[in-house]
Amino acid sequence: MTIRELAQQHWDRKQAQRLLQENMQDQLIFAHSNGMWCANRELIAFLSAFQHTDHLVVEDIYGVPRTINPQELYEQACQRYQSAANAWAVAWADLAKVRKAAHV
Amino acid sequence: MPGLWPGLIWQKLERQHMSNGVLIAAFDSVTDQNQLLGYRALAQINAALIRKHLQLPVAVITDQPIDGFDCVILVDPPAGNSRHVRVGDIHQNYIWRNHVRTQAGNLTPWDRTLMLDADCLIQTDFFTSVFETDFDFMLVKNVLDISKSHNSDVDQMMLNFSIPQWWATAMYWKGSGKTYFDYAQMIADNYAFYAGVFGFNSQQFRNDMVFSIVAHMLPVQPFPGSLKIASGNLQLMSADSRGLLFIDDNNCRIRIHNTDVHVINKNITTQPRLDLLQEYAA
Repeated sequence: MTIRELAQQHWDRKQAQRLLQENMQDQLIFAHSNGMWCANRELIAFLSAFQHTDHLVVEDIYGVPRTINPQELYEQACQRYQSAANAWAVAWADLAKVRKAAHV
Repeated sequence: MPGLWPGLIWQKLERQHMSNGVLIAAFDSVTDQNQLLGYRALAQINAALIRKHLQLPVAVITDQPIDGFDCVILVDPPAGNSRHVRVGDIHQNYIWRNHVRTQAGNLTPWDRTLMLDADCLIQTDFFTSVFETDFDFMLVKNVLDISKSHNSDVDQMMLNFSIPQWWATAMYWKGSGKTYFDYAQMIADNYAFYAGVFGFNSQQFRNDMVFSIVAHMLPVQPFPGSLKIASGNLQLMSADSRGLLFIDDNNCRIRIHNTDVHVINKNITTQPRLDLLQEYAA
């Protein structure tokens, strides 16, 4: 690489953060009872209100109504969310340490 | 077998009952500047990544015997179109052999198949979840260019803005997907007509166009989220435990880690990059 190219090297912090966020969103997706679900805060909060029942009909991310066991889906969603959020926090902290393009 | 092009030789395989697997089509090509585009070597590298992250067997559709796959399906090299590629600073043309995808339903040995492009590098277990759903056919609907900050929020449309455009980079189906592939083959056989209707280029055959029309007419589910793409102006510079590092034409560095990515730049089918990726996938 020439000196000119080295000097021109740069990186986009906001884009890097956005890619991390997209990654986290992808990691929230999981399959259960033949449907696809997103382990977001809305789903977790909704399921927590139905822990006393064995069966519940909920629409998945494609709008297809599925009969699920709320406790099982809730546990899986919580696990998924925690794992994705923890990984996101670690990656975000690593990104925060980057000061120069050469460190990317 | 209806719908096969003349000269196709294929192995009739017993479809393995209740089996899940990945299918890749890979055919090498040589440009008019004598540069070898090693799609088969790239497919071998991606197969290693798939086994590592998805823990699924991998089958390949190709024209010559090859190692590194659980199943090899030999066919005659399919027809192709001339396509432009930039390798380094040299602009070249090569024969892009992409006419096999409409036959994938007949060729796959798996009961549930995920078909991926050879240059769609798998680095997460994201695609394992689709095998646990009851959907018949899935395609990529949303893409995100890792070098841009927009475009995944906007629905991509066909050139005449009539129907949404989908991407055949990744496809999932159950069984032979007969209805879907018969329809795709009919569109492929009448490509010039459909190009006129939907406004795309009739001179270059693209599976994206064929399957976009299939998705418009038959029930197809999109893969959730957006498939990340490294556009043609991004060069792969390194691949290690920190991820894949790309640099664009303006020397902007982009590193991605634990992300499935479709690499558009065909430089990754040439030798220095293949060596890099081979070490990375090992």
